[in-house]
Amino acid sequence: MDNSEIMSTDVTYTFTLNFENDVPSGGKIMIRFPAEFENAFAVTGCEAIDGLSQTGVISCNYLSSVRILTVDGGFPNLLKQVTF
Amino acid sequence: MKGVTNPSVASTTSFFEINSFRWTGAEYSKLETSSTTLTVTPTAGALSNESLSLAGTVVGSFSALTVELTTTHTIPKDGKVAITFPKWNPFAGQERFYESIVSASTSPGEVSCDPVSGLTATKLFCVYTRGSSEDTVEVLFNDLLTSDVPAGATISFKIHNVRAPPSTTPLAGFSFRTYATSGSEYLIDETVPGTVLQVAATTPAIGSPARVEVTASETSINRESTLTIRIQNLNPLPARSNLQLTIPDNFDFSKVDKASTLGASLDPNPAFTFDALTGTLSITAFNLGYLQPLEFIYINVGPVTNPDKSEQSKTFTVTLQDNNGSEVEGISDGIYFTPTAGGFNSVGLEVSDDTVSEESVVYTFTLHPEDVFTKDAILKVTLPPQLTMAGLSSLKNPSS
Repeated sequence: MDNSEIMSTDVTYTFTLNFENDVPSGGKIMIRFPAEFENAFAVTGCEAIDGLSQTGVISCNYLSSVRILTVDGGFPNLLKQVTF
Repeated sequence: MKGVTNPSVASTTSFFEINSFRWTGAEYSKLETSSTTLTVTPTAGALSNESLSLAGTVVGSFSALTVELTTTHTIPKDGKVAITFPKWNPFAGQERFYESIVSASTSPGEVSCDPVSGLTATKLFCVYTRGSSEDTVEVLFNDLLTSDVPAGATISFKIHNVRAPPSTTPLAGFSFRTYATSGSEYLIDETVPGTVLQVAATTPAIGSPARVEVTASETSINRESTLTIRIQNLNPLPARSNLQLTIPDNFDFSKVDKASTLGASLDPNPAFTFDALTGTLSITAFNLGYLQPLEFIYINVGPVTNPDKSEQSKTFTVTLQDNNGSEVEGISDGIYFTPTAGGFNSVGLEVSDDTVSEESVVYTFTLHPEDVFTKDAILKVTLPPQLTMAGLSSLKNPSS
């Protein structure tokens, strides 16, 4: 998080995940945000940082009503630890 | 990922849930699930423009405290503002001596408070809670407001029966927090750590002359004596406080070279200076430990020569300062000493004729006074009733 204050907008969240099982091409990950993010939850874009087969902007979409973000770009992963 | 809006309250969230999937050609199949430990804890917003202002600025006096602050985020109309108060006498160092700044009969207990500005309410509900090292007053909106307090709003309110600090040294250690209270309680904004919020008393308290007593080792006029001044402090004093005492110029204090103290927690031989021009004794760090109100402080100072008349002296003055040199309380009038009359080392009497009922008898008195009679002095001799005046310069002897 680059701005931790409550109700801050346009905050960038960075996730680092350690996989036991590689995600193959065509796979995806889904992240469900906690309920505290409420319906204001929104994501304007995703960017690969490390460990993914794509660099830069990767495909992701979200459903604000259930606070679920789906990342389906960048797979297969190249490393067990990926950051985006 | 970009563009996220953080939660609205500063508490740890519930868990993020992360799953990975592979595509089987017909459907997604779950590969693994994250451990359920991933959370974030957003931080509170920063309050600004915080101020505390006491209506009464006399040390130890009770009055209304006006609190003002500017929010960063909205406070719901059922939210609250919590104010942390330091103890009134934090320098006491022990919990059993700590006193609260806010006067309340019980803890938790309601204290009187009123909205001043920025709040859509005609009254507020405030609750005082005593803590071990600090106290809290919560200003509960309790839906007394007709609308939320918006982000960026400046609000102010008064809390009554708040005591001014125990000296003219400002008392710091206050902090504010705003909360949402729907269901659970959630922090919204708070005082930025390191912000110094304080209240100040600018006028020392006026002590009571009835709580000061002056005695002398020799009570007669013109005698050299050591004065003992007993003082009872109205307000508590931190260790290493200071004291100033002025001796009135009825006394000859030109020889003063000793000062000492007597009493619990006092330094028996403190550092002192004496200004022989003004008769001012200044004692620094006279107490080794905390002094509760109404302790007995004995100051011995001397030698002085008592006044030359057996009448009430001019007033002594006493000033108590804390260990910063800030005034706590003072007494500038009403502290007097009245020496007793001197005496005669010997008195002789000769009678010119001791025959009973003899008239025109001359009584000759020989007096050796202890004190010098000034030229305007009056010598008053009281005769026994058996003697009667026979003229301006003679007496008539008793009849038996």
